Amino acid sequence: MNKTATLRPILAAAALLACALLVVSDARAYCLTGVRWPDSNQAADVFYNPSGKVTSGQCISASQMDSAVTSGVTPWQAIRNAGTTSSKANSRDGRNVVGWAKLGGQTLGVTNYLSNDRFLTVPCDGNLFANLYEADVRLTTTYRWTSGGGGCPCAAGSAFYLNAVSAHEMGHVIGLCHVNNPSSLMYPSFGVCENKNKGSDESAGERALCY
Amino acid sequence: MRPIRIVGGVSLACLLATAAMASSVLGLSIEDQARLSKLVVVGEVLGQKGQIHSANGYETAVRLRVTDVLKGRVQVGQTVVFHTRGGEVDGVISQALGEAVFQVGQKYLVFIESVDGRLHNLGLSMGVWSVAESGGRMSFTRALEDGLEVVGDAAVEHGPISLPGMASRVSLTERRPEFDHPLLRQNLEGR
Repeated sequence: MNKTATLRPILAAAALLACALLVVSDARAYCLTGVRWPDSNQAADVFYNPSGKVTSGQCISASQMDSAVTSGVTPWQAIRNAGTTSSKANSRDGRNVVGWAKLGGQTLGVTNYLSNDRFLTVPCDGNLFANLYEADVRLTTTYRWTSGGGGCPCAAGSAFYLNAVSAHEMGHVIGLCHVNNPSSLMYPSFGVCENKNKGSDESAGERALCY
Repeated sequence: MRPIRIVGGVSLACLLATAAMASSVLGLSIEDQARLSKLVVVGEVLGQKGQIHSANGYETAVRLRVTDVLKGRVQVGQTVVFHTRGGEVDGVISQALGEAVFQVGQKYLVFIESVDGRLHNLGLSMGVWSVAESGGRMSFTRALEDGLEVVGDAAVEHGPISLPGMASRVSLTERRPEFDHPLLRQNLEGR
């Protein structure tokens, strides 16, 4: 019997459990994508590649931009800031990388899940999740960024809170999806100059993922 | 090579239910999307292939045979190749959350931008519309995929919008090139 056939019943059960969890979790103001990191005892490393960032015309300095990106990683228990790297985001190299890219005129950030095995599952509190191997995030170099250190709008104009966008994307990196609570970091929309931080909803989501 | 739809069996089931993951895009009017685009075309997807680009990493090259031109220097019958932000190569999958999913043989309206001379669909799945044809009339509905976080205040239209209606709005932007969205004016016109 091949691997797919062997795992089919497990996956079917896992899908049901994960979706049931998702429905329940909506009421708890968190949402699970159905993937998670395999090791609950060790945070996944997230590296930052600062190359390519545009520093002119920003509300904050280059070092503040770097701090804002990495500050999006540190609130999450499932991941940790592993320092800088020259590895590129959206390359299958075993490293979770957040970096900068030219993403065009409308895209602020892209999160990519990279996987070469769709059938390995990870148990958590009686549920099964798909194994997450690598997640990379690319942030745009097109738009102006700010953070708590720069205010919004700044003298250069309106901007997006880099720490908030980074933290939101990292929420997806650990396996959270969108919720309906507008004040939540994982709400699917936020306004220009709107800053948000990880809160109790996201912490509950982390616990549901057994991190 | 296949377009990327899922990460795993569990997440597939959840995605088919209600779950959403995210990439972040700016909420824009159709007119501003047209202003950002080099091409706005309707066409049939002839094929797609995953590849690795030196700067962009995993991506999918989509071949589109043009049937209607709303904007840009391209002829009906020509094939345009543009790129999505994820792809599959040698069994390794990179799924860009919120990216458009194309089916070979299907027609789409695509807003296509040029980034460093390479063509991409604009704003992941925000730049892609499905096509419905009935009684010789064509209309478009935004082919939004789960996983997009919309940033900003602009109302995002989803359609349906007729071909003449869409063509009229796109052509208007050639006469009025200034952006509607203040952030685009501030960030793109001044930098």
